[in-house]
Amino acid sequence: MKLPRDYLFGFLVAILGIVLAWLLFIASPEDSGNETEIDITESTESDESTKQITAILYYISENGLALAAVEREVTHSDQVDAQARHILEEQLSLAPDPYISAVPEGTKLKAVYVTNKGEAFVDLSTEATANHPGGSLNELFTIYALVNAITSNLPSITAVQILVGGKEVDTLAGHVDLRHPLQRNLSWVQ
Amino acid sequence: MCLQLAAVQAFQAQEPKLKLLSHDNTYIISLKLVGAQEMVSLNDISEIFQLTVHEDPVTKALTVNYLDRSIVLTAGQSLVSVNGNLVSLPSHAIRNDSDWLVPVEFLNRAVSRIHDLDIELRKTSRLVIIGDLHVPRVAVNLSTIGDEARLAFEVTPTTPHTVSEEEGRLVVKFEAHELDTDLPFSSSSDLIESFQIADQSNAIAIGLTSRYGSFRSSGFRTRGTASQFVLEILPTGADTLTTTGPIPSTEIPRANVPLLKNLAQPYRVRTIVIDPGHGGQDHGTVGSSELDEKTITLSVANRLKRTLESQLGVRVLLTRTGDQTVRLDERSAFANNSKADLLLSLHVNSSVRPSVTGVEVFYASLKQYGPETDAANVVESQILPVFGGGMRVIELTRWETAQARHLEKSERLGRILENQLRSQVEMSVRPVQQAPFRILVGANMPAALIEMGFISNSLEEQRLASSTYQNTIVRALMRSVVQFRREIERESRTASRDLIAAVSSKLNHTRQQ
Repeated sequence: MKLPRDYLFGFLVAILGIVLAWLLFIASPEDSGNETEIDITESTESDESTKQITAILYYISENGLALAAVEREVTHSDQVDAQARHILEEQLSLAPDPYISAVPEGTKLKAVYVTNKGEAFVDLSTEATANHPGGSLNELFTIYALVNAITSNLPSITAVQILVGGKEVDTLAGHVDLRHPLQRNLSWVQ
Repeated sequence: MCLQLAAVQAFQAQEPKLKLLSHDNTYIISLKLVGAQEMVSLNDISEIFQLTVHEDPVTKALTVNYLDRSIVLTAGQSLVSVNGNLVSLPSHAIRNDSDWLVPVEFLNRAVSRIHDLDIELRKTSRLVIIGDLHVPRVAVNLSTIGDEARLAFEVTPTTPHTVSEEEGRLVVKFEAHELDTDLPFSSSSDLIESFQIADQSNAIAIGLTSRYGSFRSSGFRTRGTASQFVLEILPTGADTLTTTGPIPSTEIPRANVPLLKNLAQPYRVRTIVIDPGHGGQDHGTVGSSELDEKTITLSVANRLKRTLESQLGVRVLLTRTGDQTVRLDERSAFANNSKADLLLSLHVNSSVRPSVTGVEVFYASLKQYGPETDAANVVESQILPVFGGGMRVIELTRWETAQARHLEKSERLGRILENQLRSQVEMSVRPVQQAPFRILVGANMPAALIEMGFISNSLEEQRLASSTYQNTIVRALMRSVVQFRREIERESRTASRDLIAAVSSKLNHTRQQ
């Protein structure tokens, strides 16, 4: 009776060994993040990044008297701050013909923060002030192209404060008060 | 020889003079007595008020012009025509060689109307006050009681004052531009050496002798529009007396009682601050010829200051007088601290499209600052002690809400500026706009910003550099100020009268109950 019991124990150990081996060498790749899994993840992100939305962006009109509201394709994101970033990056890139960008040349988007009060803080690089041509019309166009681009396309954001180089500034070029978040204003949109 | 000289000096001292006070100048001109009537030289007046005089040899009529307005005097007639309306003078004009003599009333009855200027004639003081200067009449009566000297002051109209003790003198300072008083006069007290108008022209300095010990101020009361108070000057060794500081001329209001004085104070344009945009390291926008905005704005501001001071008799201050960097908040603060009644900020525009042209006017937009900018909620008052003693009602206004209670007047100013500018220069397709401009938001007075043209357009750049265009802009701005002042002051006076009548009626009604 003793031998059969030893065989049974040995059999159980063997079964356990096989199961462990199967888990380690066959089943484990699906959970351990190896190349196959990374490919799948990248493939999913790639699908999302190719997904686009149509956003309204603002550029200086042909006659220079107003901002023109222009429909542009922008990368989609489920996150509101990421979506704001995609919209602003498109707004800061080259304007489609025949329009002119209202944002000074060389201006980069450093960061976008969105608060739970529906206010967005847009941090621009210092070119926004250093390369600004001045004049209140140019300044109003720069600011409201950015403010309107976010507030028109993202209803959950009601106001936008522009920062430069990570800091609050009085103005971009000596006129418009940037010490507070600005609401959407279509006065300068044709 | 010495006697002769003394006689000449005595004669000169007796020759009557008329003193004319304005914000920027004091003029003294001769008075000529014709019978009992005091007359002044038309040449003297023309120089001060920039008038031109034409004499028609055929009709013997004398025409006095200022800009497009005129006064017509006819030989031997004491009725004169001022802008087509007949005005009566106490006597007619009299020829005096190549000059003419006109009665002093010509100033307040005729010149004031063609200048659109407040001119007050105080005949007994031989004083003419041009513009909105506050010049109270201060009568001082000295009497001695035992060792003490008592100085009884009567001030018309009631004007806040402070008394301070300086080295060897007491200084009674009034919140006024100048004083209308008979000082200096000699003292009959051995405590007081002299009375003089102090350096600032709005204070009386009482020179004290070595016998002086202390003073006290007492007996403050108001009688109609005048106020009275007594300064008691005490010798050394007198019983110890409490030396009091200034007595505020208005009673401290209870917290739940509205300030009738403030409610009834009509709005007047006495001080104007002009803000030449940009400056120093901030060039503003720059044209293709390297002409920069800061140079143009300063040039126009200087021209505007000269014009407003000389033609309207108002006090005009600039936020910068040279090429220095001044932050926007410092500019608004300067206007607020100067108690300006009007702020005009001058700028030059620019567009990335060179075809864009025209002048634009802006007044503040306060939407971004939330509901706390409602005009009714923006001012709090606190009663606080002030330097030198006494208490004063101090208004506390948040920076972001300073403009809120002036927004209606700023809009009105914007519309007037548009109309006056439009008659002189090309306007933009958006002639009047609202924007959250930092300089306007913090201004505690009606305020507007004027973009005088686009430097990015070559034709407008040339214009902006020319004195002809700059003068045209100045003329339009000057006319805007005249129109705004006339309209708003008239309405403000009516509103104040109505308010006082309503409050008085309510008080009478309450008393009867």
